[in-house]
Amino acid sequence: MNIILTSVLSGIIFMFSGFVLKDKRHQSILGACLFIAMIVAAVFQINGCEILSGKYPNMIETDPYRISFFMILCLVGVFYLLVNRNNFSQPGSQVSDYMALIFISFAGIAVLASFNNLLLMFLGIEILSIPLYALAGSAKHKMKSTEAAVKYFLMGSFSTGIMLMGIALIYGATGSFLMANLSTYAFDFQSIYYLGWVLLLLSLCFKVSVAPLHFWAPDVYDGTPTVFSSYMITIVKGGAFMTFLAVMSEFKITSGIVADNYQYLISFIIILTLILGNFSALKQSSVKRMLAYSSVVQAGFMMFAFFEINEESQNALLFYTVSYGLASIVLFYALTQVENVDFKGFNGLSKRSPVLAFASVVALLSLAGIPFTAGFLAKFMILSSAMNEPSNLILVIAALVLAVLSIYYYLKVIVAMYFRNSNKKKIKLSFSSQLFLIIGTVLTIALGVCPDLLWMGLNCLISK
Amino acid sequence: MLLSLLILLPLLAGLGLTIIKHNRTFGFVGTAVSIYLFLYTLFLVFTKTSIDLTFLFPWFNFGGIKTYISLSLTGLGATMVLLTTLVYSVLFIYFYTVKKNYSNAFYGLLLLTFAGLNGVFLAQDLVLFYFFWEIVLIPIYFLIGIWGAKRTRVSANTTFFLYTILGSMLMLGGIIYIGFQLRPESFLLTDVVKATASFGNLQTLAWLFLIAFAIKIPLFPLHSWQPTVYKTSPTPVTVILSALMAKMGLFAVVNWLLPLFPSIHPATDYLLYVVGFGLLYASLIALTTNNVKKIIAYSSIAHLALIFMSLYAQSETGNAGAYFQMFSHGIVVLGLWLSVDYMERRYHVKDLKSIGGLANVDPAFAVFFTLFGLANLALPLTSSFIGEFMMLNALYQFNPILCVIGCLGVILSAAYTLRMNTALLFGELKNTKVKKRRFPKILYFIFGFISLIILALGIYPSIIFNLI
Repeated sequence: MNIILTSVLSGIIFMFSGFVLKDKRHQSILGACLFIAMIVAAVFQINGCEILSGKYPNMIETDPYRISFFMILCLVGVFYLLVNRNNFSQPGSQVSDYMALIFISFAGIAVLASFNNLLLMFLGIEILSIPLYALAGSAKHKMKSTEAAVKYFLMGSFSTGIMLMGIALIYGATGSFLMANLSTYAFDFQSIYYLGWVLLLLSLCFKVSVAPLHFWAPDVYDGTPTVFSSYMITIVKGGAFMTFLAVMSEFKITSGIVADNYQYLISFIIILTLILGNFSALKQSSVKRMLAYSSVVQAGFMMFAFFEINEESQNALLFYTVSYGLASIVLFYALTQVENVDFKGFNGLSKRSPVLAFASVVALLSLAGIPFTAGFLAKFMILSSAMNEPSNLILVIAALVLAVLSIYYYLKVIVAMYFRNSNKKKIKLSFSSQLFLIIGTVLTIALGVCPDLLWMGLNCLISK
Repeated sequence: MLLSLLILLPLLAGLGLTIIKHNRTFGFVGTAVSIYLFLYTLFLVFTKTSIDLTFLFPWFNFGGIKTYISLSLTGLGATMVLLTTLVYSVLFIYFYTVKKNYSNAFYGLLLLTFAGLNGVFLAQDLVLFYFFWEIVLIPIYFLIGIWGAKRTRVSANTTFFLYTILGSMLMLGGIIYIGFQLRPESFLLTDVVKATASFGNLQTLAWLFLIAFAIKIPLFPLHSWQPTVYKTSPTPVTVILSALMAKMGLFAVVNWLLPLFPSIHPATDYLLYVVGFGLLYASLIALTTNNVKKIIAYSSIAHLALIFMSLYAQSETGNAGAYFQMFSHGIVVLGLWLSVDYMERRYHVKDLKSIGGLANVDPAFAVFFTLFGLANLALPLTSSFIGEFMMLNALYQFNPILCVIGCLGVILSAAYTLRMNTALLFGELKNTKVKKRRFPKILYFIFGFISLIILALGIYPSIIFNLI
């Protein structure tokens, strides 16, 4: 309950912060402080000091894994706000409103970190999504932004419908909304149960933007103002994956129609995502759109955690979220600094702003999965956790070979930044922006060399 | 702890040089680091016992499989580190004295590659090995992309990078399979060998590793990236690519592939025939092409193919010869590439037709270049002869047909090397603008040093054999 209360409170604080904080950059400092407050609340909750604890046993619970995931997302959020400190006024002038929307959607993640009931999950997903529809359309004078908002809203409502249908069917078969009862269903209702499960799976696929329901993602991420797509692509996606994994891990069925088809369905989703995502990203001329497709590809990699849900794959997913978040936030920051988001806009960036170019290179290498960056160990761990059966080797190798394609389009950015010249003027970054970029880079490399840092940090907070 | 210096020193110096912004170039840092490390390696190899030459430190642990930061300076690895430090020392002295207009970042990236190469040759843990194997590519990528020949640098570089990454990705798949299906205790070489030995049929895995290594060596038919990249790269990078990075592939075959999958593959014979075909094919191209850089590139492919074949013969003589030749080939191509660079710089030589009769203009250079050429075709008393003789001997016992192919390769290598030498050094002076100039003193020292090593190893090869 702690985290839900704190995050809702943060949203409310931001609704009124515009009256007090006149300097717009202070809003994100306040946001970072509130994120840290949420971490503190989460630490209290996980160590047993909870407000209203045990009052709603059939609705919320304290799941250590999801709470640590939540804390990690808060940390990524702190990084996100501090790096993008000056960018929130780019889409429009109502910075405090945007902040309020961001924090209310984050309250959705807090709900998703605590639910043990499908209905509450549904509520969490809706709280998470609805502010995002507004954020997508926040650049009101831009057609693309409006288009993104409408598309996101229509598609989102559609997937909500699918999810409700799935939940209803599962309720029909199990007679309960409780997560603990999901795996016990009446045998006569097997087909209904299976259909419900597939619908639930599909609607969650929509939320994490993997095939076959990924079509909205590139348009929405491309049209949304860059600062907010950075948020959607990292933190929101992380929260959605956390939910997805939690729901799927409850379907622990050793026999029956779900268990028979589980591996095939996941393999199908992964392969389709990787092929569609990679080949579409290959053709893009805009870096932002390329990164949008690449986020679909990365989500495809994250799906490898679903083959066998155990501690390893959970940790791998957590690590992947962190490494992907760090890299994407840096790259989307770079997108806000160049004049146009085409590959040409990146020409000669190494001369125009060496720090930004270097941070972007490390981020791109991390996305590409080159050793000594967090991205490599993330890929290594997540693929390893999928090796529960020898036959998965084919899938792993297919994913890695397709990753070579992704390296090709990441390299195109590096080529533009370092090997091409441009006569545009230098980009001036403030000292603190450079500092945060360097912190992000150092973190990416540090996690890439010593992944235990993350677990050590988490274990310090969870001192049970 | 002694060993980590071999990686950390160039790494830190390299990072420093890459980041620093200063108009003066600090190339001497690179020279100092590489000469120091060369002497340091000599000191370690000849004075320390093997217990001092290993380093073990727990790293991370995923899914119950441990990884270690495990380094060892023994056997072939020691020879290769010696070669790396030696090549780097010569390279830095040459480029620091001959041409001073490279920037600090250039030297910095060269040093980062240095760290990566030492890491590959020292690592005894599969994951650690993979880390270094990949990271070597990154500085090389920037070196070629920023300082390479303008026209082809982006396309050649991208092809090179994707080609090698493709191989690495296949290997990564293999590593993940070994780790999480065979479940060894840790990723240490000894544990991994134990795990693969207890499983029977692992041919698919062997192929995954083999393809990765074959791309790096490069072996026919995976060699197509190499000639354009050698042509595009600035010469220091070409030297590193051909003298050291190609050896990474061969070293990996010796240190990882053969121990991990010792059972002779049923398709080995066919594989070696393909490699043998590649040897002849590369030699024939070298015989017909006129571009000097391409001749040396293809000659390299041919020589490395022979080394690979004799490694697969898996006999004691064959291995010893191959190890020896790996060292010797590194030194010989170092000499050849530096000569090419010298000719290009001073006489603007691009291909065989553009010039001739250099011996009249620059007799001292002609002597050195002829000596390197003779070493390339494995004349007795040069170091290559020892290695090639042993390898051919071993191949004859393994499969006479392969030996015949190898011998044909040696004959062809004489043909193309002599063709190159005669065309450039003798005959009429075609480019009349070339004036008689003095051979620089520092180059007497550098080329003389390389020649000395070639001759010394040719006369007294036990220096290397004792190491292995």
